[in-house]
Amino acid sequence: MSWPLLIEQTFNGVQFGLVLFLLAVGVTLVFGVMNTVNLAHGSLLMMGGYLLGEAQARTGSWLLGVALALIGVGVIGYLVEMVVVRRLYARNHLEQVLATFGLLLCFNETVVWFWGREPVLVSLPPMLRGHIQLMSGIPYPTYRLAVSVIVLGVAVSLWFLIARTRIGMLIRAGAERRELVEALGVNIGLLYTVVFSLGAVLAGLSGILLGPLLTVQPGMGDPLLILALAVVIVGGAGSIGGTFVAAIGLGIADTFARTLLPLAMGGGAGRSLAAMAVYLLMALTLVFRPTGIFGRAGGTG
Amino acid sequence: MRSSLMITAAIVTAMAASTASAQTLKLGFMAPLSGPSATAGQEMKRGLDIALEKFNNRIGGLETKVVIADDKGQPDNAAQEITRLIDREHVDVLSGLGLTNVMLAVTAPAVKANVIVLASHAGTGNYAGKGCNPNIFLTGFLNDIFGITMGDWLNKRGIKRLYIMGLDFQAGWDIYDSLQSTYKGQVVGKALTPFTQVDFAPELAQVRAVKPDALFAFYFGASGVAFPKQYAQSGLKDQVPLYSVMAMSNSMLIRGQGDAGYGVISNSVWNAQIGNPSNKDFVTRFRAKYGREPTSYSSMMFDSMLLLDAALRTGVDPANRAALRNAIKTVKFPSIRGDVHFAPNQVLQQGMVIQESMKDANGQFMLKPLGTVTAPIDKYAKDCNMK
Repeated sequence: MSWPLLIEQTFNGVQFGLVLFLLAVGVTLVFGVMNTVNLAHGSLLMMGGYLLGEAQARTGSWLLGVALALIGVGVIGYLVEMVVVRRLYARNHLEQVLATFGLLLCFNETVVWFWGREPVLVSLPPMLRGHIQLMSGIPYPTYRLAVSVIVLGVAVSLWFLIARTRIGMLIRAGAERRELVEALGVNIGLLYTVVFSLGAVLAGLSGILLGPLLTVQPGMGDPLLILALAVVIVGGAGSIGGTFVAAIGLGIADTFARTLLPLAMGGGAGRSLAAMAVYLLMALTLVFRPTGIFGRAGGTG
Repeated sequence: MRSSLMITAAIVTAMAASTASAQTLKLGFMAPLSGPSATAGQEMKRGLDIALEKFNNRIGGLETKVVIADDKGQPDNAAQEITRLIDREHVDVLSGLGLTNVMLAVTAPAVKANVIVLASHAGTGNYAGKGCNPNIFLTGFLNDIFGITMGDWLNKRGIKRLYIMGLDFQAGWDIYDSLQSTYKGQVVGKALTPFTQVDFAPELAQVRAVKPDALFAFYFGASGVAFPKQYAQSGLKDQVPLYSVMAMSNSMLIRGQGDAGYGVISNSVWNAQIGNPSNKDFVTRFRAKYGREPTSYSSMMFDSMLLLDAALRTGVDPANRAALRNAIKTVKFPSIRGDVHFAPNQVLQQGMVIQESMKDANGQFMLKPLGTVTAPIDKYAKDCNMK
């Protein structure tokens, strides 16, 4: 593999990792703070994509479309928490999985109802189409670079929110000692609603950012959610830092496994192993460090 | 007096019953109407609907009862549904069939019940070779024909170095292998990806590094939109021309592909521009109802119904299966594809259209025919020993 290609593939790996982070961080927040598994997270991603497509078609503007879609997904997240998820906090994980899987099916059918089964168009503003030269001989899609910058911005903002603000302090405290926070007079119900809606907005943002790259169609978030769950497990459920490191690591591992293994091992075996790479890493993590690389039992840090 | 009245009544009833059975066609239609392949199934259903409209619900001039079955794209659902179609609905003909794995699950019970199968979209070689059967007709295509004719076309265009990308599964392997059997240039790279993969940046970077003369890619469904978009964004669109098949370049996917979906050269069993009266009539009806060009899914289903109609109009009774299958095999029907006929293994033989996706004078999506390539009879036919 030549140097320019190696650099380009590293960029691809990091970029894929950043996207995984954006999706996984919402899952890990909801799990870390509320100890709740949310399989409908991928549906919120899908809603982001669809709302962007719809808002774009109606307003003709990408930026306005993004803003409206973000607000829309936030509202959906708020409603879902109030109507369904709120009732699941006290239940066990199996019941949460069943209930949120039901939600996932409802979301997919609702989308078919409104937009049909055929994929819808989500387009890019002209300035983000095309590609730029990273270095001479390494062209890179402008939009992918923009996605990476946006996700990095989100990661820094999240860190600031959790580590430096009052609401972040409450989130951390709520994750560690729920009863104590409640006893101190904090409205824990409201805090949970805020965290779940934040998770929804993050999922929606991944859908908005991925819409122009992927196919906006029913169930589009579900294969990605499986990868996000692998990231959460490797990173340590509830740990935002761990999720970040795991996401970038798995993104790079996946990219190089896919490009190098088929070359090294030839055809079928290489391809099969490459497709398994992420899950093998997940399995290894579960064997040697069941709480994940940065995980503590149910902590957010 | 009373008894003779009753006898008359009985005779009249019996006559009515017997004429009813002679004048009714019970047509089963099975397709993935829900689930991951629902786009294809729903589009096949549109082709059926247009045919029923054309014939006023009387295929072959017979009163037609259509029984719809949703296989959901899964063989176990298909197995349940075929039992219903046979035991409860007593269908004469089973049509549709979008997926190979579903077809494998339903043909055995269908053949056992002496039902005639018109597979309009499943293109497996199983039923063209050793597994051929007098009751099974492949009215759509064999998967191999895409690769064979594309290989020929690439040779004609002087493509010396080809990169192959696509989905990692049976129909894909059929296409890549058959392409390599006729393509005379060098295959400089091959990247096959699983269905769950939706990001192709690493593979596209490899393609760019190798600098091939052309890229052949086989993606449909979810990846059929994501792939052309990412290919266009990577800047490869200006450097390496993209060749594909009809499943990746059609009037349904273009909605999601946007500008990235134009300029793709693909091959197809059918094209909306084919000038025969049957096709003009079909395209006009379809456009009026759905506001766009039909696709291969709807057109192959519609064409299968033209075949069935023509076969029944020779005067055969659907209950007489031997006569019906003989009529299907030999009848000259006004196919929207033009001149077609069945090979001895009951695979429909046809020319393949090479087409390019572009905007017409009104800015609407169209697939412009660039030429036609014919393929020799398939490699499976020699193993077919039709009883």
